Amino acid sequence: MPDDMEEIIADFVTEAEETLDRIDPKLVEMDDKGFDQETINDIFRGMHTIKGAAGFLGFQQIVDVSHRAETILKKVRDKEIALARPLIDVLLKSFDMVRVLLKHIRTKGNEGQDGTETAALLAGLEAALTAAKPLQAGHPAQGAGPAGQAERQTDPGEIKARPAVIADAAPAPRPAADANHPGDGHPQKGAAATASPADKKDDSIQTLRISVEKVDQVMNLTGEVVLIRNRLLNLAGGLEQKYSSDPQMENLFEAVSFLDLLTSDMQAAVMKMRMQPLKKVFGKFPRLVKELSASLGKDVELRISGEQTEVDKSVIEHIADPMVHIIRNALDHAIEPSAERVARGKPGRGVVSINASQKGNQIVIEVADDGKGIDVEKVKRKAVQKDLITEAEAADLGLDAAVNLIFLPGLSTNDVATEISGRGVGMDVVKNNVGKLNGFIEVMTKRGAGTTFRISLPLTLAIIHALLVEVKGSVYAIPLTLVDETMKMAGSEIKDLVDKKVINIRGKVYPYFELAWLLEDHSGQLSQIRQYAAHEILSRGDQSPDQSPESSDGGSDGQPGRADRYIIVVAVADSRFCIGVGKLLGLQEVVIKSITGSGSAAPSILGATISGDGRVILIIDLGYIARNLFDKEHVNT
Amino acid sequence: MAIDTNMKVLVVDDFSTMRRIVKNILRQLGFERIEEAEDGMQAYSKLTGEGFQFVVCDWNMPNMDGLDLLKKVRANQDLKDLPFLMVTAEAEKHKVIEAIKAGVSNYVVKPFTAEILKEKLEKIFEKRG
Repeated sequence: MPDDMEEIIADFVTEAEETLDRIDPKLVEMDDKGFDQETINDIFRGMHTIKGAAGFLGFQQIVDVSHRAETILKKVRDKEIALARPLIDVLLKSFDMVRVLLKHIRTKGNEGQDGTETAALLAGLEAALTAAKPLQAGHPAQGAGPAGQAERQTDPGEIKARPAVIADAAPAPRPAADANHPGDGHPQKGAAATASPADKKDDSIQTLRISVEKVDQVMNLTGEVVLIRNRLLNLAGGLEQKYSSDPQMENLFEAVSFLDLLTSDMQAAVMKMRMQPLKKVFGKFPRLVKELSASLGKDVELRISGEQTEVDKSVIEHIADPMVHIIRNALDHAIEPSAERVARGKPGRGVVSINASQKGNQIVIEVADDGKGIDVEKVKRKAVQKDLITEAEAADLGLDAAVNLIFLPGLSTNDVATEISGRGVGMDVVKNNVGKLNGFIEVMTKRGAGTTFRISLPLTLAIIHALLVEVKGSVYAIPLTLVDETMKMAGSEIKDLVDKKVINIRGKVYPYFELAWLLEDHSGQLSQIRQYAAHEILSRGDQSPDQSPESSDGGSDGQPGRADRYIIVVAVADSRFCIGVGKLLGLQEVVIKSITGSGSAAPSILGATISGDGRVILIIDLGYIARNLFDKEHVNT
Repeated sequence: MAIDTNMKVLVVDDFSTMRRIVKNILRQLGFERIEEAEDGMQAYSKLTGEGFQFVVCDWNMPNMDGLDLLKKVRANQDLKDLPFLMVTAEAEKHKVIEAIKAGVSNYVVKPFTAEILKEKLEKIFEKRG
């Protein structure tokens, strides 16, 4: 076959995975809502197609597995056998197996394995088929697929060795039936998790498959254009002051303004290319909840909304793990067994709701359960016991601050919802993962009523609106998403309170920090990073890196108490604190250039960008700084 | 016999990898003018306007499957003689009789090689030649 074979195989893996992602939840859905001809057709077609393409590409294990699954699906489709639980389970297993094989193809270039696992699964598929109840007399379910298929097996022993019935074919215990709590007003189970009718239309929309690399290339170029645009705006501004009487100036401004508008539109359009609906992630959850609740013997309904909310591809890739973690916790620790719920006057069936929405520049994802809530006192005791905080600190902590202790590394206990049984992974990992996306997680809990985790993420990751500030002669950019407001204040307004500084804004007291202090720990390092970024980013054109040394003026900067301070009120999740800077320089759209290879990149720096006048600006990672402050001081208001 | 590889071919399949594979095989046989459609519906609207001389079509597709497309094509005065090759899976073999009744030019069971496809093509165009 010709040399673009590799590309075809890569396409096949992607497309087959997409197909599985689509049909997998449909099968789960059918388990909930009963048989549906159109759905089964669709699932069958998916498996059939994967088999067909795998055949061309010589992936025999995939052909074998998908063929068996297809045989079962066909009999279900043709109403020869009933789609019972064990059958669904084994079908889902076969989907998983194909996924494993696909993954292996993607990473290693072949299906790998010696086929024993595949053989075991094939045996399971056959056993399930044999055990399946025929729907009509005269249509006995036949175990084997077409003979030709079986003979193609590399090892004929595989087929003969099939056990009579595999364990999974035994009916799994059903969660308690609806009858347990009649009239609790819940909508039909799984209704919210159902694909909307509009999805069908989506299939026929004309699409073009483009590699992410190519999109990112366009995105990077767009970023460059934005930088030039910023520079041009700056130059035009300078010229206007000089030649304000020249009638040509107006034309120049008009042109530049046009460019400004167009670039913004272009950015938005490119960004949109990378956006994908959260459905890609949420689609996996119905099955997760179903399997987990069955294995825990709990009755749990999953409600999903807002799954059409679109987020950047990188969010899609990295948000699943933290969410799975939270959902597992909810099922494992938060939702009580039915009997206990009923005894407490709650509906017997627990509810886990997942909701996504866009709020301004942020995407907010909430995972809420109506379980028992977190025992905050217990969390405090545990934290003291583990030397994470002192007795006195514990006594001081308010409810909101104390519940945040669950995000501390090392605080994992079975008593509180911080750990998944047997996994040994704590909520601190969840928090870090969300942090990597420049997001923030918060938790709200009420004893006896439930817990809600709220994840807030920036809408886009590459281009941000930022506030430019000056600290000790250097310019920094602060992402605007976390800035609540800015104001000017006399230095005397900043009050000392024991070992910290606070300011009073409209009757509320906020913790206060100088940005200079926050960056102090590694100011030498910052200077290096700036130099490095200058080399890396400014490797072309007439731009010259900022030559001013990091702390050229030892003036009044960073010395509150004398000069006026500019105050930035930062809102991270529900907490607020203030940052003081020497000067506010204005707002700008900045393109985040990640600084790679500088080795010791300071964690409080998100990346770098270039100002309109060609200087390198470091972008402050407010999320990181906030996390640090919260962890150290449990800042809360 | 030599087949006119300059003819315009439409490859119909809902799975884009399959379309690529089939296109690849067609290219090996020397075909250059190949277009794609992702289901029967899209294929039909293409066929009615754009002067195709040959169709390679998958059976199992959403919206409009291969058999329905074939029936529609044969019912259309302009397209009723269009060479139409149906791609089918092993398990669908028994259904081929339906396709033959509906006027399919030939069928090929997947997976197939360039040689097999060539044979089928020769058979189709032999009859016409």
